[in-house]
Amino acid sequence: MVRMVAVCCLLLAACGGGVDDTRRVLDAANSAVLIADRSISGARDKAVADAKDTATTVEELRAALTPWIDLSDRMLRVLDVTLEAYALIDAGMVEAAANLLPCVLAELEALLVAVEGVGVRVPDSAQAGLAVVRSLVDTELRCPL
Amino acid sequence: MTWLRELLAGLVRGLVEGLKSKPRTASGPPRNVTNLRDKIAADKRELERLLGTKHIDR
Repeated sequence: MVRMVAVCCLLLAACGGGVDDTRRVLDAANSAVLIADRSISGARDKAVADAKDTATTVEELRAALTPWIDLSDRMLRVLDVTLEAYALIDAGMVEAAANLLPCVLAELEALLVAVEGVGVRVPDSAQAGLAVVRSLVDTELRCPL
Repeated sequence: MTWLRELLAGLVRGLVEGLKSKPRTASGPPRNVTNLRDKIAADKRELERLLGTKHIDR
């Protein structure tokens, strides 16, 4: 009986740890997106204002705005995957949520590269968030990349 | 044994009160994530609107 209770406690602790780790990755990824959004907002507003003033054709305007629309898409992709993972955790499917973490990592890496692609320096805090995600996905959660 | 009964009753009462008053915010996505998503989606819509209407403006 005592042994059974001990095993149950260990299992509960293991499950709880998985949820905590998964949530920590999701929170870190979302924080990195928030920082990225704040970092690009000034440059984006300036680019939009410049485009409004100087673009004389739709093509010029499209060339000026498309990179920013693509960046929005990338940020939304990261957030959508994390929201899906939160929903899976709430439904008790922690393993399924953990399986999404490599996808979160890949989307976040692509986002930060894209941010640098529009000439905005990615703040250290966002890089730190990416490092947290990478480290937990690579080591603790042992998800296949 | 009355003191033991009172102690147990007090513990149970405290537990029930604690559970009642504890905000249930542990599950679900953090609200700031959904707010951030809404904000980014609105920014994107604004850029697309600008792209779609600019040729009419000029």
